[in-house]
Amino acid sequence: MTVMLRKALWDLRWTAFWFAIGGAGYTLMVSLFYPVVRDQAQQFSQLLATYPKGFLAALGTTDITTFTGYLGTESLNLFWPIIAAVFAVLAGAAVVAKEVEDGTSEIWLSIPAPRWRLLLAKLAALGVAVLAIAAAGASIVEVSALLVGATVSAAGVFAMGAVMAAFVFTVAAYSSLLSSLLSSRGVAAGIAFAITLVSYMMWLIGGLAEGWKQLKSFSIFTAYTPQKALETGSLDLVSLGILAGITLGCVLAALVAFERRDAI
Amino acid sequence: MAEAIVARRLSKVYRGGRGVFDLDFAVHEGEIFGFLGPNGAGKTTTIRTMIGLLRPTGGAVTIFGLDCWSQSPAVKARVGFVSADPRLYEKMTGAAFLEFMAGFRATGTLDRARKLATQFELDLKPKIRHLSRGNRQKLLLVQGLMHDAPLLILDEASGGLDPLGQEQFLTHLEEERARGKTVFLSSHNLAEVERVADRVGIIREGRMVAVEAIATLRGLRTRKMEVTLEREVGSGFFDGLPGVQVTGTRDGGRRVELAVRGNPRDLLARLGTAPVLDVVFPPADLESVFMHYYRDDGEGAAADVLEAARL
Repeated sequence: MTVMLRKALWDLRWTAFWFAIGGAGYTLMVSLFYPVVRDQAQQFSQLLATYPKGFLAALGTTDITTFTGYLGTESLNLFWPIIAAVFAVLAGAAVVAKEVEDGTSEIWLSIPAPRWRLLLAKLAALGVAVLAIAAAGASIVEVSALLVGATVSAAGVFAMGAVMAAFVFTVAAYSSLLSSLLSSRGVAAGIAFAITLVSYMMWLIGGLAEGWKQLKSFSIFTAYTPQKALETGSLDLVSLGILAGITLGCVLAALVAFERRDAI
Repeated sequence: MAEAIVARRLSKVYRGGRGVFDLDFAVHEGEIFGFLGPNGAGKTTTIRTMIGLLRPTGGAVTIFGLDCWSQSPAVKARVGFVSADPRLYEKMTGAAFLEFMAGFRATGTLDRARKLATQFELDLKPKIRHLSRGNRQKLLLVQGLMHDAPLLILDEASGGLDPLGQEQFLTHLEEERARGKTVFLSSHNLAEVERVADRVGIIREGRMVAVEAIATLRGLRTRKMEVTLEREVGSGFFDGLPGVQVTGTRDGGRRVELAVRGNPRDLLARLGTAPVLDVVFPPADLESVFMHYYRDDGEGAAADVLEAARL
């Protein structure tokens, strides 16, 4: 198990590193523009008031005159999760399907260990990579706040990091499940992207149209509230529980499916 | 005699109807069992059910009494497996790959791996993606042999090896047998199997058509011989020779094609009395062995099989 975990971590190291840098770098870059927005808060508010409600909702826009609102709008609510979800989908879809596609599944599964343990080691490595990306994404908020003279609480940053990690875990988990069911990484990733997009659309439409508001209940984006966590410094345990439940369910299903399937 | 591998009505049927069907065979402990068949006959599918990659759709196969699907980890602990597919973890060096694979085996495995690498003259420093086909195969062989498993399952294991490497490989198999190991050697190279195997199973279109001792197989094979003569010797010259049949003549009877089955001693003695310029007598090929097993199905079936057996 440790040998497999070590190899899986080694395989993921550069991908995770560049996605962490990408997500954190984007957040840092947009944060540096915050002083401009803060200094012209009234004009920006008036400008945003002219935009359609749907457009602002689609971009995750809230009150951009506060640091947390601005950061939520420009990064945390939409762009950072997109970057992290791309990593989660690509890495998750690769856990089994890449071995099959690359023709290494025979060697991998000639190892004298139960399949579920081999897969669990890979999933654990993926979990570590997700934590690293979320940690980078959360800690850069603290750094950005210092650079632009804003204030965020340590509890807020921690709570936001937990929400970010839980969201990316969930995307990685259903991507991994698809990978363990299918032999094509491309198909697994395609379906996982589609699920993520549909989930986002359900969250968006549910938030805009009163008649469709129940759609939000079926979207993982409803449970993804990093800005709120950053502002309040507290965790929404129900939302986290939902994400954790989906993650755990997908991981267990992936282990069972992989244990039972033909691995070629 | 104890059995290392036992297949009972083993079937693995894919969508579309291809696969292996009702395979029944046993491999005795301490023997080298050759598993022959053309590409697509079902050799790799059979092996993949043996190492737990594929779940049988019917029947079962056991290794040392353990079910290959439900007790797969225990089976793999007792098996050294060499895949026909030389694709490996391309970014690893040979040394890192062996270290990774040895991490799942007993202490001392890596030392043995290094010794085997030296024996097979394999450089472990380059990354796998830079290795030639032959060196990849050597690396696969080393990882299959390094944990000193009591059973070796080798799927086209000598593919890509140069003649010297093939010789080393076959000599190593003979040494392993002498140490009491069992070897399941899948191949479409009859000469290789003939050299080391004690018994042979022949698979055709997913069905086991024969399990024979190698001595029996030798008696069944038909080899082609082409004799070039200084002058024609007459159509009756080869009459009365057991197992010899004239299959064609060219150049006004100066080139004679023969089908030879069994010991060629009498034929060679007869040729000694003829004005022979040249004799071409290649090793037995798989086609001739397959011909024997297809004759009962009629000429049409034989032609189909020969087409499938082209290597």
